[in-house]
Amino acid sequence: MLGSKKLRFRRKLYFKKRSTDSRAVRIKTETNKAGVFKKLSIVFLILVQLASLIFLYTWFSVASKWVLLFNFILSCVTCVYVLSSNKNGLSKAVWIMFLLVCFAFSNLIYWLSDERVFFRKAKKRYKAVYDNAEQQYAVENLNGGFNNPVVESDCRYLYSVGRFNAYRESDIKYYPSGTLFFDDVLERINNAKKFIFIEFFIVSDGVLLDRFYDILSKKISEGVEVRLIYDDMGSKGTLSHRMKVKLKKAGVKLKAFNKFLPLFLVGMNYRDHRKIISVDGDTVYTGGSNLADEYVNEKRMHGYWKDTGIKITGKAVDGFTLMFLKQWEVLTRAREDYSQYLNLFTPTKSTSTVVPYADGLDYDHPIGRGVYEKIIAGANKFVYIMTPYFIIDDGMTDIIINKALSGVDVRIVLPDVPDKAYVYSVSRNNAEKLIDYGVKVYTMTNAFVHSKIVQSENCVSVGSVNMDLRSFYQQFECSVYTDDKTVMADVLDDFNETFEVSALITDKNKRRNNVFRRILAGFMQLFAPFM
Amino acid sequence: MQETYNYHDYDKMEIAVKTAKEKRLIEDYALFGFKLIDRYADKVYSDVAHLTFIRPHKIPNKDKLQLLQIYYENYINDESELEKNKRTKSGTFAASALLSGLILLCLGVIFIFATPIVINVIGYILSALSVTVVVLMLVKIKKIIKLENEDFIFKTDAIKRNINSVLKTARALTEGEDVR
Repeated sequence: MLGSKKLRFRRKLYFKKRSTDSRAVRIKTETNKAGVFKKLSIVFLILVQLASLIFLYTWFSVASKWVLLFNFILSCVTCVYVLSSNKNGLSKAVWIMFLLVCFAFSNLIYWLSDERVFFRKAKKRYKAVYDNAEQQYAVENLNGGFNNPVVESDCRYLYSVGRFNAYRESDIKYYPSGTLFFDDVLERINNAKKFIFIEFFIVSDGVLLDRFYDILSKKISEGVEVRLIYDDMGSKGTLSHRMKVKLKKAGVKLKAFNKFLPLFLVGMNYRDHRKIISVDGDTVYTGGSNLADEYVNEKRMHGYWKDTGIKITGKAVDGFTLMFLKQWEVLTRAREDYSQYLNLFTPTKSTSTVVPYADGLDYDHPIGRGVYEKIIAGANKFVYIMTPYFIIDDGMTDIIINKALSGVDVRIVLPDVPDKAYVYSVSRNNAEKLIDYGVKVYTMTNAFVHSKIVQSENCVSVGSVNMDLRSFYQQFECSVYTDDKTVMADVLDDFNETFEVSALITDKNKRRNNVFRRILAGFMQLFAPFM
Repeated sequence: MQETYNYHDYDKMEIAVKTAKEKRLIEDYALFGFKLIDRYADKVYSDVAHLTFIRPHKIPNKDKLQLLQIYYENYINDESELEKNKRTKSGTFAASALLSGLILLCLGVIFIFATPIVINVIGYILSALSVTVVVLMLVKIKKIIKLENEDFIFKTDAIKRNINSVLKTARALTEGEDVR
């Protein structure tokens, strides 16, 4: 009796309901809610500061008509200053509109955002580091031996704007996915003997970082030097404090680029978007992928994550190693002898041209944009572009349109699944406008395209530079330019395979056909320079 | 009981599935190279189970398999969506017609019991109208159901063909064939 009473007491009646979700299968993705909250909190604090500044300054301005008049005159003067600046046309237009419409407080916001005022010290530091690097490591640029005058012109341009050497005797390999790319990276760093330098925009907790950690800690115990630069904003909320401590304890020299603080400062907008892995000075990896699980499709975000990578061996390796060392010196403010990390490569027999190049606020000219412009301008048969975002200025738009009207096959591949809806609406709007001129615009079905590639029949550029104003004007980037036939064939194959699994946007299915979407995209263009 | 796995040698995938399709999903994921290592029922929903799979980290054509897997999952979910919404049109039509008929009938009865004769007549007309609406609905709904069935068969056949094509390609890729 007691036993049966116990049984009745223990028996619980579950009335489970049926799920209302119609999906038969759902991939479980962990989101770091604490990390997302951290990032949003910082953004919220910045917006609160901005709102407070605007409120206080406006209150002060409207207190007296003379102050208001002074502000208006100052706005007009600032407009002239903006017109004379090196900003791109779209930025100038947006700023001038803002300065004149909101003259009560716009001056304050503009001058707090001007990099010529607030980035001067950092620029001086970069210049000192670069001048020192020039002295320590000066390599004569290639002079002649080019089969293609377009490639020769592009190489002369890259040397002229940033002293980026064109190299031969370098092998280069293309990876059409982050999965294949990182498998090769892990294999290579497992065989490292001297040093491993890593630089990423996003470093994220997850199984990929765990794999890296295991190998890096093993290598450090074998005497290999490991350095890691991560962007603080890019990795905010993804690289946990626990993991940072774990990496430091293992012996990894860790450096955050530009700490992301809850302050309204223009400097908070400048991020390190580079992706570099240099191993032993004889192998370098770069491309579009960051160090996070979604880049190898082991975490589901935004459908299939389409990305790319490049491996370089031979002479051109020094180009990227030097890029890393200069960035490290700026961050640590410690001068060191680079020679122990350079000239360690084994030259290969390749006669292809390989040019590692960088971009950032340390250069006066938008190099990434310049390279893309030259590749497109030099094309006579085709131009294929793969990019997650398509927010460009009028100059670039005109070049693309003119090429398409000249009969060049111009194709752009965008994501089908966006990561940021507001950026995507502007990107789609910009790309769809070009359809009228004969440009073919594709969206890769069920995928987020993260690759950054521009290719013509002459050459190809693969790296971290998005086709947007942020990459062109606000971020530190890196890429490789090459005319290597094997890489160009592999990239072309990748494009053709991608076209097959993509949807072509036609006049009938343009999003721009919807009036409200067009109006929204037009409004979002006001913020395009900041996207 | 979940087996432990070495993340250098294996990839792990955790999914939530509808129990009605569980067996089929386990068989299909095997074609992508996945092996089931754990299963437990959802604590809240009676028709949901949680499955954990692993797959060797280095398998041939992994990037193509990852893309195909996404297509497969989208097709399966589209199929479920179709099954769920199979009778949406006919259901909505029937509900609207029945509700209209009921309202007309109620009004009709109220008017029948009203004093003025004219209102009585209107009441009888409304009652007759409500019966007519229900009868017409029964006739029309047959046609709607027939069209729904045809539409459902057409769409699910297309989805089934797509799923079969994806699975066939996945099997070939897992076996190391170069599929173009």
